[in-house]
Parts: sequence; C-alpha cells; structure tokens
Amino acid sequence: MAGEFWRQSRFSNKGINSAVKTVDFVDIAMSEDQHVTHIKPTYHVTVSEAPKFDLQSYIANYKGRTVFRRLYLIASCSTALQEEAARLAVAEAKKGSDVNQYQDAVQLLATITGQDVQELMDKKWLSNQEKQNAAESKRLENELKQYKNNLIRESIRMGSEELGVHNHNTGDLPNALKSFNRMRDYCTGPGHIATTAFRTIAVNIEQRNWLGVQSQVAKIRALQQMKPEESAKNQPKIFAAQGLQYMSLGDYKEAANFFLDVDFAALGDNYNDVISANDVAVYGGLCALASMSRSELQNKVLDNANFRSFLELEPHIRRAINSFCASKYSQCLETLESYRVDYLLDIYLQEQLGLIYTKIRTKSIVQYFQPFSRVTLKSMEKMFGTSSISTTNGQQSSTGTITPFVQELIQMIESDALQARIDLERMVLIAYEESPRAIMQQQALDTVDNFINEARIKLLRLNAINGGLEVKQAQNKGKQTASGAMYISSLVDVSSGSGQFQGQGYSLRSARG
Amino acid sequence: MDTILADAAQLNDVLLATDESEYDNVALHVLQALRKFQTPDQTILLTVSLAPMLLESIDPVSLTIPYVYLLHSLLESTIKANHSSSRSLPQALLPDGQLWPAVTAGLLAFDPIQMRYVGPQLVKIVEVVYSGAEQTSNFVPAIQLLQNLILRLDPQCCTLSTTHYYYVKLCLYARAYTEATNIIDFPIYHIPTSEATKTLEKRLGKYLCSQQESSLAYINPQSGLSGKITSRVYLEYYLLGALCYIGTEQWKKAQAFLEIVLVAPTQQNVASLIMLEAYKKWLLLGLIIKGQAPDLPRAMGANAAKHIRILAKPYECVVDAFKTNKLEVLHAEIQEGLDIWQQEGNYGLMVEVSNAFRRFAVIRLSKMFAALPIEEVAQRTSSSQPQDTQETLAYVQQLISTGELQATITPSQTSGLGTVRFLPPTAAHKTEQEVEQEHRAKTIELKVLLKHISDYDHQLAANKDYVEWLTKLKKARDQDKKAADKGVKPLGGPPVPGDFPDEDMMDEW
Repeated sequence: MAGEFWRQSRFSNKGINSAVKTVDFVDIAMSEDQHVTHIKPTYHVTVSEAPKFDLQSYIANYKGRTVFRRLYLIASCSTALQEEAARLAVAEAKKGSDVNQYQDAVQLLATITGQDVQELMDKKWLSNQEKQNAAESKRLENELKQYKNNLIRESIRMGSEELGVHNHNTGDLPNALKSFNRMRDYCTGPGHIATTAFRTIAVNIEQRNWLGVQSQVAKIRALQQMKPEESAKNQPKIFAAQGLQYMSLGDYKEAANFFLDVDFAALGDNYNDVISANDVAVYGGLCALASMSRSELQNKVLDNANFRSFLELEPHIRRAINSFCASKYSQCLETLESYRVDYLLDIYLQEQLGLIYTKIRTKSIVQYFQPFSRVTLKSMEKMFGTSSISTTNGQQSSTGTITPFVQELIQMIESDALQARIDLERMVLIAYEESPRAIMQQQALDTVDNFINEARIKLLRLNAINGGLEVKQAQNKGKQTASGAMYISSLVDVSSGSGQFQGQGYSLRSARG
Repeated sequence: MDTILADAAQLNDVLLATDESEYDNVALHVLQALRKFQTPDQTILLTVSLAPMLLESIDPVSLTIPYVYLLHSLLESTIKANHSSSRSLPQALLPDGQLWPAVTAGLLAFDPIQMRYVGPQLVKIVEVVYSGAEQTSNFVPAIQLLQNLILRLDPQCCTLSTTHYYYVKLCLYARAYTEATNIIDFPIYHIPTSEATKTLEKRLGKYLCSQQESSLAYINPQSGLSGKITSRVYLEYYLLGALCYIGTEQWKKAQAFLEIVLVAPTQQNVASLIMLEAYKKWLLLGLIIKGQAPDLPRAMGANAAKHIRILAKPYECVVDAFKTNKLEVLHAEIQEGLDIWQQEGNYGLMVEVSNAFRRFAVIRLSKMFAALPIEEVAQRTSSSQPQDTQETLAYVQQLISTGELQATITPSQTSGLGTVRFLPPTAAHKTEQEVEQEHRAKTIELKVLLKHISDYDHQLAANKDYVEWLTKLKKARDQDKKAADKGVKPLGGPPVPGDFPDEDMMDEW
C-alpha cells in the first residue's frame, strides 16, 4: 500500500514539473531512487540498566518528529524502558501522519511484547492516513501548480513550503528537501531565506547529513540585512545546530565553543524539535570536558554567566566540570560514569559517547600525572579504576603484571597522549624527561650531515648532467616491461652481473648471522 | 734507446720545481722518441724473453714514462702474439706469470707526475690487470695494485676514473668490502667526461705536470688517465660501491650511494635498470636505518620514479607491512616474496630488515617502559612461539653491547630471568666535549665541500650554454631598454656567480 502511495505521488510530481516546464530529469531520476528506500533506523547498543531520567518528563521536553525518533531509540536500546517507550512511540506515531513510523513502532512493540504484528496494527487508521496523506499531497501539488501558472512568487514559495512540510511530516525526506530547495528560489527577504534554511537544517539533521547542515548554517550566517531581533532569535538555533554538527563529526573543541555561545534566554524551548536546553548543557559540558584545558574550562564554562544557566538544568555536569577543575578526577569520572546509561539513550550522544568518555579519561590521567615525576601505578589505579571501555584488545601479560589499567596507559603512551614511561619492576609511572640542549645539538649535527650528503649528491648530479651522462633510451630496441611504459636501457646484462655480487654478499652475511 | 733514457732521467723533482715548461717539453720529447723508437725495433720488443731484461734495466721510479711505455708495448705485443683466443689473456700476463713482476713493479713504484704523460698506456695496463684477475679469480694482488695506483695518482681521490670502477668490481668479486671502502670513502667531486673537461682545458691551460688544485686537470680523456666514463659506468660504480657498504654494514653510506644512483639524470620517460636495483635496496635500507620508508630524494625525476615504483611493488609491500608494526604481517610478506628476494639477490637485506624490525620493537619499548621483565620483552617482540626468553635475553644483551640500546639488565627480585631497565633518554646523549669535537670535524668537512662547490661554480660559469644564455639575456635586456647602443656587448663580461641563474636573473631585473 505504501508503494502505491509513493507511485501516486511520484506520478503527480512529474505532472507538475512538466506543466511548469522546469523539468529536471536528474531530479526525477534521483527522486525515483530515493522514494523506494525508507530507511529504518537500526541501533546496536543495548543498555540493561535503568536510566536516571523519567521517560515521560524527558520526552515532554521535545516536540515534533524528534519525539518519535527518541522514543524509538530508547525502545530499541534500553531493556528497562523498552516496552513503555515502544507504547509511547506507537501513540506518538499515531498522532502524526508518517505511516512508516507507525509501522516501525508497531513492529518493534510486537517483538518486545511477543504479540502478533497484525493484531497490534490499527489497519483502519493506517489506510485512512495513507489516503489522507496522498490526498493532501495531491491537493498541495495542485495548488502549487496553480500558483506557478499564475507566476506569483510569494504564493509559489508558500506552496512549496507547505508541500515540503507535508512531505517532512509524512517522512518523505528527499522530497521535502526538494520542495525546500524550490522554495529558496522564490525567497524575497532574509527572513524567508532563514526560514527555508532552518527547514532544510531540520531535515538534514534527521538524515544526519552534517555537511548539509554546515552549508545551510553558512547561508544563514551570510545574511546581511537581518532585523536585530530576528537574528537574536536565530542565533541560538544556528549555534546549537552547528555544535551538534561538529560534535557528530568528532570535533569536540569546535562543538564546545558553539554550544557555549548558545544564548540561554533566547533558546528557551524554541528549538525543541531538535535539541532541548538540557541537551545543550550536556553536549556542551561533555565536549568542553573532552577538549579543553583546565583553565579554559574555568574561564569559558564555569565563569560563563550564560552557560551557567544551562548548567543549572544539569547540575551533575557542572559537578563533573567542577571536580575536574579542582583536580578531583576520580569524582569527575564517577559522576560521568553514573550518567553513562542516560547518555547512551540520547539520540545524538549515543555514537559519540565512547569516544568522549575516553578522551575525558585520558585527559584526566594526563592532568593528574602532570605535577609528578613519578607515581606508583597502584595509587593511579586506585584513583581511576579500570576503564569500563574495553581495553582487552592488547596482549595478555604472561607475568600478570600488566593489568587492564596498565594496558590502557601503554596505549596512551603509544598514541603520544601521555609523556611517560612505565617501570614494571617497581610499578611506577615515570615522567618522560629529556634535555633540550642535547636534542638541539643532535639536531644540529644531523642537519650538517644531511646538508653535506645532499650537497655531494647534487654536485655529482650536476657533474653528471654537465658531463652528458644522462641515462638514454637503449639504442637497440629496449626491452619493454610488463607495464609497457618503461624502456630499459642496455644495462640488463650488467644488472644481472651485479645480482651475482649481491648473491655473494648475501652468502657472506648469512654465514655471519 | 740510451739517449731516450738519458733524456727521461732529466725528469726529476728539481726540474719540475724550477721550470714546468721545460719539464713538459722534455716529457713530450721522450714520448715522441719512444714512439719513433718502437717502429723500427719492434722485433726486439716482440721477443718476450728479451723484454723483461730491458725493463729490468729501467728504474720504474725515476723513469716512469719509458717504463710504462715499454711495458705497454710489451703487453700489446704479447696479446697480439697470442692468437689462440681473443678473449682470454696469455698466460704470461696473468698473476704469477712471466711478465707479472714487471707489471707489479710498474704499478707499485712510479712517479705520479711522469705517469700523467702515459695515461692511455696506463689505462690499458689496468685493463690487463683487471681481466687477468677476473680470469684467474686471483683478485688480491690486483686489488692491492689498483688501490696503490689510484691513491698515488690522486691522493685526494676526488675524480672518478675507470680504474675506480674496476677496483670496486674486483673488491666485490673478492668480497674484500673493507678494501673497497678505502677508496669509495673518498667523496667524488669530478667526473672526467670529455664534455666536462672541454671548458676546463681552456681555463687551466697549463701543463700536465703542473701542480693542480683538482685532479680533474690531469685525469681526463685528453690525458687518457681514465677510460671513457659512460652513464652505465657511473651508475654501476655507485651501485657496486653501495653493495660494498652493505657488505660492511655501513647502511647510511650505502644509502647515500644509492641515492646518487636514484637522482642520476635521465632522459624523458627513461629509467635505468640499475636505478631500479638501487631503489629496491634503498627502500630496504631505509627500513634498516630508520624503521620507516625514506622520502624519495627530491632531485629524482618524477617520471623515472613512477616507472621504478611500479616495478618495485613487492618491496613497497614489505615497507607497508613494516609500518603496521605487526611481526606476523611482516613475516608473511617476506615469506610471500621469497623467490623474488632470492632471485634479485636481496634476501640478505630482507633478513636484515627482519632483524631491524625486532630492534626497533625493542627500542620502541624503551620509549614506553622504564623497566620491564625479560618475559614481557619476549612477549612483545619475539617471533617464536612459545617465547624463548633465554634467546630474548641474549638478544637484548647484544643490543646493549653494540650500543643500540641504552639499558641495563638486573637480576629479578622475584622470579624470572631478570629485568631490563632502560636508561632515561638524557643519559644517552654525548658529552659537551664530544659534541664540540664533532662540530670541529664537520666544519672542516664543510669547508672542503664549499670549496668544491665554488670550484664547480666557476667551471659552470665558463660553460658554453651558460655563456650563450647570458648573451641572450643581455640582448633581451638591451632591447627592453631600447638603448641607443644596440650592439651586443662582448661575451667576456663578468659571468654572474651563483648556482641558481634563475635567481640572478630576477635580481638583475
């Protein structure tokens, strides 16, 4: 049935396009590709512990399509909340008009409760909704067609926007993007452009197309004649979207900077269809912890009056940053660890959490070690415990002296994060010290050597060129190699002769070895 | 004959010191007389039995010119007399043959100044010595003779000659790598090709006997003290030299030699097989020296590099395997190409690469650990399963004794074989005195090098192409200025010094 719907809408789409003579064949071909695939999100994380938040109040923070997506994620990943979340997701999907979402949710619920899918599915609603969607699409497209015939720019823009929103709501993201793209051609003021861009950003974020987000954000930021109050309204949204983008791409420093600049008062719950104020606090706090030095954390995060309001929403993040700044690393890590489950159930944080936590942990260990010249491994291990992130990929020690914690330290040293060496006999970590003078002297000598060597080689080369010693193409038709590109000069015999020498050289060497 | 000898006897140090032109005259005169003398009395020389007696009566030190000349004619006539096979030399000329003592005497003790006048004859004698050694596989006497010859003729040894090439080849045959390094350790600054010496000749323009700053003045095709140097001889000399260094495990020097081969000038789209050989070895040497693939020399032609790299693919795979830091991967890769390495004579180097991998693995450990038990070292670096800790202990001890590793081994407090304690990196550095000493040595080296560079710069300034280019430049400039005087100024204008004409051009504009 869904297929039927897509076919219909595609057909009517074509009709419109040809009517207004703006047919873009590439576009049609693309849309055909994209129509068929409704990508059902799959998650590979399973969380058995119950998170700290209350599902109802958590989800009440959001509105729009993100509600369903978040619920669906929780239902897929959390064993404690799966049933509740799945039921909420079904209810949520039924409120909207995306039939695919509804089907996904029902299927999930069925697998969780063990019931039959057909029983749970409200088929009547489903077929009704599908018909409604199709009718609505048709209506909007017809309207748009009319507007286009009348050549009223403003109407075309509005018509496109309506169609785009409808497509978005019914889950047809590629077509929604197309409508919004068309909408931009008919924009007249900066306000319109901003609206278009935000609509596109919403779709892009849902598709996780972060490069798309970036380009749209750039478009909004490039707008010149924006009214001050409007730009004040847009600013937090842009920063939040950009923060999200950088975080998802793994650039935590940039992400932290953007999140920290989000204006608390202006954000309010304006952007709840993507991100809530609580999220900004958590994302910003975690990104900052993962990427900033202690003084930066103090100046930019804790002493930041604006971001403090965010942190008040998530006091444990503030606690974690505070303890990090106060060098109480174990407390900081403990606090974060206790919220791991919560964050694993967050739609954007889930993928990045492992990396962020590892970074924070690595940084803590490095910071902890900084003032010491040597520390016993035991005391460090007591301080930090064994990382919950699996470190078992290293070799197992035969002597049993290498605990997972030491293995983690070894990895840190290998990746140059920690400047230290491990003494396995006395079980201490020793700071790496070197003498800059000696290094400098060695470098100077190396430079001289390199220069002399290179100068000699170049001088010889000049000599050779001047002496006409160019390697020439063989006179008697050179042998062609398999690659067919290389002409071997008439040196073949000699080279085999030298091969003989090498053989001799080798036998000498191997005899010695 | 006696008159010739009497004339030749005049050629001594005193005459050289007082009057170079007279010395030159006499030398040339003696040569001419010898040439005339030979024609009617050839029959005398042809008799092999008589000639040694004649040669015996001539002192090779004071009468080098007649001695070498006669020796040459004797060798020639002996070869001619022996019609049996054109390839192999007659018995009398081989080491321990009838004429060998005469050859030895001539090449061991001679007057280097007089020797400059009999270049073509000398080169012929060298060839005879070389092929004689090759024929009999009795290399040692030939190596000694040639080494003496090269060093006496040119104490600084900075001009390449065919004698060098023969010498290195003989050393390789004899596996006398250390002997070879006695000669190849001298950096070569000049290549005596006819093109290179054309300009030189005019500039120096003196006599062969004059005291010269560079040996290129007398070792060149005109004097005949070197045979014709072709690109093949040039490349081969350096490849073979590199092999000698490899034989003595002087990896860095070997790499520098190979680099010379790699950056050799090539025509468009042409690469020499010697360059390919060199590239393979050069890659492996990079692994042995630094544990990573070296950067391609900048001067290497991009086109040649492209062709060579395609053909050296198996070797690049080994480099990639080395980079993974995984012993199994490297071993698998080496195992895979076993036939290739053996065929191309690089198996020995591959063994070295494998050893180097282990060495670098231990050295890497020293960056991570201050101390760790031998068992742990074995586990992290050894290839054998189960780990042979005894062998690892011996290996680490060996690394410490060769100075590759700054560490100590202490008996373990608990159990096991012991603990390796790596010294802190600060302990590994040289003392101030050592550094200072090295600085001084390098300064001297640099000064010599800079002198050669400025010499060569002068030489290039007299290059015909360069002068033509300068003229063109001048013409263009004159036209630009539209000066009244449109005539081209004489060419003799001061050439612009500097290795980079392009920059000078910019400066002048």
